[in-house]
Amino acid sequence: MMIYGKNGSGKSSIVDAWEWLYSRKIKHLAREDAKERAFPHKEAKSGQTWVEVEFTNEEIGKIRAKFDPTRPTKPKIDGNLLKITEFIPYPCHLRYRDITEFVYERKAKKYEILSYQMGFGKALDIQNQLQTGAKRLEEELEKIKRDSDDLSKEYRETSGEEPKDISSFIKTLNGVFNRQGIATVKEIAEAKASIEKLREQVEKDERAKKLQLWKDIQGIINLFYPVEDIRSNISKFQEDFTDFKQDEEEISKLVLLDLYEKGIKAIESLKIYDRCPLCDQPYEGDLIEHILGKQGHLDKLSKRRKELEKSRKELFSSIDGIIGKIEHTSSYLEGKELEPPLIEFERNLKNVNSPLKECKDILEKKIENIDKGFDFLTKVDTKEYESLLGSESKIKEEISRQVENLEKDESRKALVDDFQRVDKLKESFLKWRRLNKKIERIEEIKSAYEKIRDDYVEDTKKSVQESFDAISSDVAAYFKILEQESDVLGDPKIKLYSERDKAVELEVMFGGDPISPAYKFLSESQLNSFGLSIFLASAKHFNPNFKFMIMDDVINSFDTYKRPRVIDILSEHFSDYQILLFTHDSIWLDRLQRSFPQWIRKRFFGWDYTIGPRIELGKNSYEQIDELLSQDKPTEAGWMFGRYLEWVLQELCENLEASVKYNRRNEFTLSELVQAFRERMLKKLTSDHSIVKLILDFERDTGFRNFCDHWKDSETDYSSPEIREIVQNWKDIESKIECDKCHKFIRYEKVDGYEHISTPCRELNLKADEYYQ
Amino acid sequence: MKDPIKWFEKAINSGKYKEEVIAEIKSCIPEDGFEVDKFMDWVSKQLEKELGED
Repeated sequence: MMIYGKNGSGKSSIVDAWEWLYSRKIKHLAREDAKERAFPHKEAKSGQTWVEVEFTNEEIGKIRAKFDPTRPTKPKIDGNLLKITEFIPYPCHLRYRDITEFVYERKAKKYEILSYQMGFGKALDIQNQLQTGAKRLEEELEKIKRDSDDLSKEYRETSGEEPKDISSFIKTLNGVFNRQGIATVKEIAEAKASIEKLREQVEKDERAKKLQLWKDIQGIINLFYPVEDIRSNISKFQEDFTDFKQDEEEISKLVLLDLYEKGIKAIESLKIYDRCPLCDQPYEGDLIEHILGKQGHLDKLSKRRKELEKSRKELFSSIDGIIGKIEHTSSYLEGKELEPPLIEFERNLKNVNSPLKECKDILEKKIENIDKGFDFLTKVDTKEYESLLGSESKIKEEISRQVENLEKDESRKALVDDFQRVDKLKESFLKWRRLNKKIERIEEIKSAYEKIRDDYVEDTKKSVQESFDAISSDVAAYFKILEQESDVLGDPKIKLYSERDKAVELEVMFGGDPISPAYKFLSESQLNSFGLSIFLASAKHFNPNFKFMIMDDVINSFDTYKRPRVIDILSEHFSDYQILLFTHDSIWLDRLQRSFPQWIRKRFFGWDYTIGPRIELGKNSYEQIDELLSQDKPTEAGWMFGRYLEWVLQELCENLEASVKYNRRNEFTLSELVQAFRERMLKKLTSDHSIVKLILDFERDTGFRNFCDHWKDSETDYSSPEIREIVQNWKDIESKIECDKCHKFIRYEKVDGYEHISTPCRELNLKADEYYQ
Repeated sequence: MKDPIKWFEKAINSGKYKEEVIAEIKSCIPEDGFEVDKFMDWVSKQLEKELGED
């Protein structure tokens, strides 16, 4: 089936609907951030949005996907959807933009697109997720190792030696126990009991208990100070931030920087400097200079943003560090019987923590997402924060005074010191030991995991390469048809880079040498030939039991002269396929209808808000001309016929290698084309030929073109019957120079010294005797 | 390879991989892909398990 419709008539929505049914996603809409909620019609009520496809294959049957507003990403499916995946492992729909985007993608992205298209989507998703898992395991292991190192350091600082094993730990503890008159221990459980005994001894002595508390506080305070004073940095940041945020409109344009960079790269690669690579519109002047100008303006803003982002990250890190210290200190001091100045110190910690947390949460966001009204300075520049910063020496002096006073009794001092030492050793050793067990276990899991991941990646790669190999001969065959003019191009290949996990490049032979990446030497149209060849070959190989394809305006990416070759491929290699083809090119549609007369034809002739595309029978040029003549519109019919005739004659002149009067605009009038066609036919077939005679007669009728194209006095206009007769005369000629079998026009070919005027299948041979009787 | 679940089933039966790890990876692939968070939760449980009290 072929569906003709102008841009915006709703053709692509049909492909979207198919994609949604097939994969529950519409990728190009997702890329444009149009999520599932945007899929239904604005007026559609619940249950009114669905896609239904009835397959003649009874195993699949009828499938309906109904949009569920409560779970937009999970449509309700009626029917055996799993069968679709079984019969259609490879996507059978292709859009124009899919081809153009593909050829310019990076190596890794190409691999991903191809692999997804070949049905490796899920395998590849899992591969990516396994890589993420490996990274997470590595991070987890590193974190545990860091914690273990910290504990090892703590142990070393307390005992003077590295933590090793239980016996050396017990030995260290026994040294202390012996000093305090406690019996030697052999096991950890005994050691714990002895430490408790020591604690009881400390607690029995009120002053020793107090000394222990003050010493613990001393340790905590020594970890807390110094505290970074961030007020001046916050003040500077606030100033720069407020200034930067003044022009929200300009900031929003920063997203364009990436586009500008890619645009410049595309222009330089295409070497087309006067046409926009995005919209294909011509530009008067140097496009690169124009983009550089716009980029330059945003560059300044981008530089300021970069500096501000740097400050934001630094401040975030500083505040995070201060909060960490506050929380560690607060948790220890909570519930303890404190004395001044620690009472005030603890209160200040609490008061400072909450506004700092607010700042941290805000600073976690990127600059453009931070509310311009947020006042960082008032959150940080408080008297409590100032008091915390300023009270270091006062607090430390008070603690030292208390400790010094309580340590006057040497035996008490030794008791408290010993208890603190063994308690600390116990904590750090046991934690260190647990972490080491964790390290061993996670290393064991990680090593097994990585082996699985590596083998999985390798097998995926192998399967992808096998798929590439399987389609390569078809890719080459289709490419050859599309690029038949080129003597220097050939043997296109999809090359998998084996040294990397995921990288693919397109290679083509150019003048006898392999060129990779192919875009270095190929034009956009040639690259698109490559892309289309890959799609068609993949659809054929990977969906062997599902001979159906949807092609949405794919010929858009080809030069006009190359478009009929897409028909040649479909005709030669996909004649047993059901194809749903959308196009907005009316001339190509005529060619398509001529080649596939059995196809159903539809035309989208408009779009309505309530019902979507308006559909009617798709008419070819002759049918449209006939309709106009029936309505007695000879001028319109003549205009349409003239346009059609010019197109057909261009193809005929090309096929017959006719000499057409040159003009530098590369535009030909009807009379020039008819003249060239007549001269060539006359030269190769002589004036005795029955078709040449018809052509000579027809040439006299071509004056209609001028009358139908320009305003003339109405009395001299052609009438409907006159135009109908001219059209019929041409139709008679056309029916004699087009083959009923291959649906192609005659062409000139010289083979082994013999000149053919025949169709490529040789079924129609104009040099046969019958034409000279 | 177009059906990764089958690859994991085959891998489990091959005896080539540490059973608990390959089985857990497979169980974290319900339909839409490998659930990394679920796997990491399992890893955390493994790390806590069998460490015991000293």
